[in-house]
Amino acid sequence: MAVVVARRLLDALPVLVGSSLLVFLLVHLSGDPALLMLSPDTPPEQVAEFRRAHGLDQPLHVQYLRFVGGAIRGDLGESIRFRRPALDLVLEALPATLELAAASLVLVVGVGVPLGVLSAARTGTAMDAAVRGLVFVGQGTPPFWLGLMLIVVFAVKLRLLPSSGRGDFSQLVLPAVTLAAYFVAAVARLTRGGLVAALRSDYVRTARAKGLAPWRVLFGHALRNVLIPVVTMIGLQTGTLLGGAVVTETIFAWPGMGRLIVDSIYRRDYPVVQAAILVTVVLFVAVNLVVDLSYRLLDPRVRHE
Amino acid sequence: MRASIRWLPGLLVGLALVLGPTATAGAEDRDRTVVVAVGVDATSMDPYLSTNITDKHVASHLFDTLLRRDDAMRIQPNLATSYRAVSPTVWEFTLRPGVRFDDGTPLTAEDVKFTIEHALDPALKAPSVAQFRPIVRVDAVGPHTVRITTKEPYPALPAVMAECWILSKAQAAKGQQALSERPVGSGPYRLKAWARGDSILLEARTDYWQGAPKIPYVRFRTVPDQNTRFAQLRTGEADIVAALPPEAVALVAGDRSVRIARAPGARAYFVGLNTRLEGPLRDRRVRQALNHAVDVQALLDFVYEGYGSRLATLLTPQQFGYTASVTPYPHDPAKAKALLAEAGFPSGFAIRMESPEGRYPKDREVAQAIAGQLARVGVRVDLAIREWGTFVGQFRTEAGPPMYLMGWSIPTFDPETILTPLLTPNQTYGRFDTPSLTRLIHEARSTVSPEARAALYEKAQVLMKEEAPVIFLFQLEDLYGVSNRLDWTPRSDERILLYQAAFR
Repeated sequence: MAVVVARRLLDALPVLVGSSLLVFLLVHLSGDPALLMLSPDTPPEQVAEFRRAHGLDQPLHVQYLRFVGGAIRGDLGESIRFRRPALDLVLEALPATLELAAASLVLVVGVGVPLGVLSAARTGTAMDAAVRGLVFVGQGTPPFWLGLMLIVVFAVKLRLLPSSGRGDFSQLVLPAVTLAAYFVAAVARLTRGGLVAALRSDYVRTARAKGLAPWRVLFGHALRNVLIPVVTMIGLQTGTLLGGAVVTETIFAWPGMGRLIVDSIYRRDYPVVQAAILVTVVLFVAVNLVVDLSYRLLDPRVRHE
Repeated sequence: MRASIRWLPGLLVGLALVLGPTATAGAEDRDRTVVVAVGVDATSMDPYLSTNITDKHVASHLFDTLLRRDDAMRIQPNLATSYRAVSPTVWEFTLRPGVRFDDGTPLTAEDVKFTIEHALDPALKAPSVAQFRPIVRVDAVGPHTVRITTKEPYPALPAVMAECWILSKAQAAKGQQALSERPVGSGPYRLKAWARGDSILLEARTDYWQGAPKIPYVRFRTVPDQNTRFAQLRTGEADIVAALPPEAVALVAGDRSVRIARAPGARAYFVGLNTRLEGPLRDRRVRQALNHAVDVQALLDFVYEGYGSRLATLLTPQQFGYTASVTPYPHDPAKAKALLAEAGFPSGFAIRMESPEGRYPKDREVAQAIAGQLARVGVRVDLAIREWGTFVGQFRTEAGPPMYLMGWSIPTFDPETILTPLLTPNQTYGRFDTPSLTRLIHEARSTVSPEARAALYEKAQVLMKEEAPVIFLFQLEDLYGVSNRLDWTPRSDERILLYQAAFR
């Protein structure tokens, strides 16, 4: 087990280096923080002075090596905009992102999986048709539209929930639903598809022939075999959610990582972009590790390999 | 198996709980709080590290300036009761006695001296202090007397001092972090809480020298999405929302709880014409033809639903030295074609134009409309629409784009801050200069007598129209959504100030 973990962490290194280099190049080549930060009446010599002061006049490879050198020592640089350590800004935005990710994950697991089971257990019924309809709508609705509609209905018309912001639980509901809608639908579909196939398999027939209660057949035998792809998908989605959900965070004024990253890209605040990408990659790798380890719990074959 | 599914979200919830929700800035009484929904969070509480308009809104509540602008944008005394030019390069400001910072320390000439030196300190790497650069020295000649010396005559100095928020020297002694996060000012409000990315809560100071504000709390809430800001206005979650799109006006018409407030904006919009590059734009007749070809009133009517007004030159009526005697180019495609033919382009020419997207209201739409209008006189515009960062990145090189749409905001309302950067040599965004105009602008910038200076700017406007260095466009009206429980009027400098506001 420890060996697996160690090997996985080593595997993450090239991912970290590769992604940081790629992001570094893309962000640096596409614009200039000096011109974005300075008022337009600033004459060119003062623009040059600002670049020099922030080390932006150095060749790209020098800037990158400086960044890597700092990162190894745990220093991800200072935000050009906020004049604060870039990592601090990222870590301040992280709890909001985790909160939203956790809430939507609860919905995905708590609603998506049961919907899929319900649909598979009642194939061909009205219930099945209803779930499949929901799945199409859920996967086909873009979050920016869904978010705005939820605001219009629940905040503007019904006045049941606040439109946006972060603070108490009521403010979490709409963004979590918006973010989860697609994933709930995806997981419901995957669960249904897997389960329908499993329910037709030989071992289920055997279990039924043994006279097991239908619910035991469904949950104890069939569902268990469907969980590997479902857990994989949930894991991948969790990784995505941890990078922040730009559209949802923007619509609902949710102060998370997605917004921080996009704002920083727009302002070419390189150190913050770098720090945020690094943190996201680390989280993503960690979640994938957790998913891999969970296979060992879910499937004895993996354990014995 | 069950455990594996359950502990993943459990872990995340746990993490979120451990790391804790960011300090939500107190649940103050909504009835006593004005909520302003803004698009971006503040950068810093040190106004000299400001990078956006929210910083300036907040600074205007926390700090005082030596001079201030009234609602008509005229300069009035504030912390300074009077000022005079001792010589063309030395200005003396007399401070109001008895003003105290929020921590109880008196505000003196030393604080003014510190503030300006702080803004100019190279170690601060301040982003927006170009207008302070002509200052070479500040002397506290008495506890309430400050002398400011400039490199050369600098008549815009009083206008600059209306944007110079006075910091506490004592607070600065605690370090830059104190200035950036725990501001101590002499203004009508104090910082109560700042939840980054979410909101800033200000609390009224009952001991403010001009009298306690009528609004006990002001919250600037960051709401990046325009539609959500508008929804907040409708739900009553926000009391003031800036930068409403024109189409929102009709949407609130039936709502009795909110109203639309308007003010002429501080931005002059134009299409820059690059004469550093070889090409037809170097010919004045071509530049004049382009001005005749664009139907500015149609742009205002159809793109902005009429919320704006034409500009004859780069100066808006709110600016010092503006003259109404210079009138806009009439829309005259036939004249445009004739001028083009005269310049040797009877069948027009092709040229690239750059426009940002998402930077100004309806920037892409207006650029497309301009390109369409120019096509009618044979000027085939290859329109490139770019994200703002990429757009400004093109000005890193001396060449720059051939034509470019911009809106220039003039916080000082002094023509110097638009004419020098756009129409004289060696500037960041300007790509046009001609000796006669440059001479006039340089002369005006160092003439201290306001009358003589205004006369020079009048001449500059006449010459500017003649030279047509850009396609002159318009100034837009800033549209605000305001709750009807509030008495508040918008200003032309885009500042949202609540000191003089009141609940109805």
